[in-house]
Amino acid sequence: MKDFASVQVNWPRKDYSRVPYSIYHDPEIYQLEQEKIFRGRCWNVLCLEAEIPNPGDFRVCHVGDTPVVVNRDDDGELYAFVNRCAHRGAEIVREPWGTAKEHTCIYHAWLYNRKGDLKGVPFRRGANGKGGMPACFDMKNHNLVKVRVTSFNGVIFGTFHHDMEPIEEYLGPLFTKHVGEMFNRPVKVLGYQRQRINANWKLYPENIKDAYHGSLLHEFNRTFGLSRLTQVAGGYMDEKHRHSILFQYKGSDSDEEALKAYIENGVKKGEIAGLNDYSMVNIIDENPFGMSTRVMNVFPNCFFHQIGNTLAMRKIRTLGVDAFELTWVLYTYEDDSEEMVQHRLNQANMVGPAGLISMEDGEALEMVHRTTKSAAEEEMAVIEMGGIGEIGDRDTRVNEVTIRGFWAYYAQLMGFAPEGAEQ
Amino acid sequence: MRDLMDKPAARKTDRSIPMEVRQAADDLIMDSTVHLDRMELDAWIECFDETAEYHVIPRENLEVGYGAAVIRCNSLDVIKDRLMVLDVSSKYNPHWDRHFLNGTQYLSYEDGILEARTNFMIVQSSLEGFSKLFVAGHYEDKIVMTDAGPRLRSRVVVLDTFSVPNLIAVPL
Repeated sequence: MKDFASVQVNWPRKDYSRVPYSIYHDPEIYQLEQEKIFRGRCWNVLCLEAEIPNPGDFRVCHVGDTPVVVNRDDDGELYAFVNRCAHRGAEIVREPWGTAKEHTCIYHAWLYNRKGDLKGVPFRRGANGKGGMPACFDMKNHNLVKVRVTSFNGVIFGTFHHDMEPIEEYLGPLFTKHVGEMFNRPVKVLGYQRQRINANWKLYPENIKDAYHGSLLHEFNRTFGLSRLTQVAGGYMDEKHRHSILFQYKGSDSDEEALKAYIENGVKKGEIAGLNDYSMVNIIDENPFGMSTRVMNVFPNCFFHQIGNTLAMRKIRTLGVDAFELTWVLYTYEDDSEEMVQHRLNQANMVGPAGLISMEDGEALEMVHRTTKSAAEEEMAVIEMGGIGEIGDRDTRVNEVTIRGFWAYYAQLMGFAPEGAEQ
Repeated sequence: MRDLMDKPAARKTDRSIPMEVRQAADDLIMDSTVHLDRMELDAWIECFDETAEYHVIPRENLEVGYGAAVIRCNSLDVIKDRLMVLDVSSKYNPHWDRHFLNGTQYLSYEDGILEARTNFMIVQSSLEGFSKLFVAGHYEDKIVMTDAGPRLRSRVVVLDTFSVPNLIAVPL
């Protein structure tokens, strides 16, 4: 194993209110993240059960850089393996989704079942009494690398650590409650939205945990009151501060008060006069906690959103230190009326790569990544909104403490948290 | 891919469609994309009929049979709303687009509605003068012949490049 003892990060403050820009660009840190985060002691989201509903259905997912095939077997059980042939390392499954009885590597036709067990090696005994594998070759020793999977209310998570705690324990009570509620009955996939963002992957969980930007960057939010700094809102975490939920209540401020507050704070007035069709911003009340929006990050690669009535699981796949792919898996409930399905599809205009309240995020992340590349070692991001010092929940969107929570847990997993740091 | 195997054979050009109808539609399709390249969005919207729809759909969703789009405008009002938000509130990468179309295939002409299919590529250039292929796909257009000339009744943009480079702000 590569020696990563040399990977050090200079954290000048133990509350993570300063983040060195080099952390987004260092290739050794990126390599260490693959080992300590994605293949480390985490549950990574893979896909939804609704994406592979029938026996034999499979989908190729990614844990960081690592391609993982998620399969449903004849008995309905879920299995996952790394998509890398145990013979010479070739990619075995070459289509992103499908249905298969078994999987055959095209290179030398080695055959695997849906569990990833090696079941066939052509000419293992040789031909015409010549060649073949040595007598000591045992197929049982050459299965694919298995990923342990678990389904939480139909959301499939995977881990390389077969002794990980149960998913409910990993989520903790707050996220068991909210993710559980978003998947409290069978769902149907509406489709995917995908984008490739030329930025380091960590900028995305940071963005999702950043309550402050939501109405400053996304003026659509501000104008239509979907998210405003003047609203009743909050940013909460699990006890390890690795997962986060940002939420707010539409209608908890008045348009006039909000406008006044933004102008007093020097923010240019949103010029959107009005819409011809307001159905996109019309929220049908369905959140039992009354939240109009909630956006969650389940560390490290998983996100959930309820924005109005759009529902999605989002996931990221790393593509090297300089890029990641973001996939939005939009869904509806099986028992939704056709009218509700159409409403959710219409509200999907707000999200994804062309989303009226999300397209700006890709641009913001690319800007940060581009310009921090040339920063000197001592240049750092300043994360002080919501206060410094102890990391904890806040009942406001004028808040970035949740971002510090991300760095605190990340640094611990990576093994370079400074001594005496906030957790 | 399993579904590609199940697809019906490609539809052929309907050669009985009058030449002047095809020519008028060619002009409309070309003009609509030049307006986008020049960011003449008021002129672009004039290419649409008053009952028009405009959708951008990832090809993978069509292949699997999922309904979600990345842009879903079920009416001219919703198209106009998107352009207004783009104009006053959206923030995106400063760039120039350039559409490249190949010949349009005209598939049918019934009750004054022409069905047309056109492949496209869009090359995006930064303001620093660096260009790259942005997206590729095809238009599925329904064009209505009106007294004022041809108009788009619906445009479905099928997006092969569904893992979108960064973002889509300007319509495709």
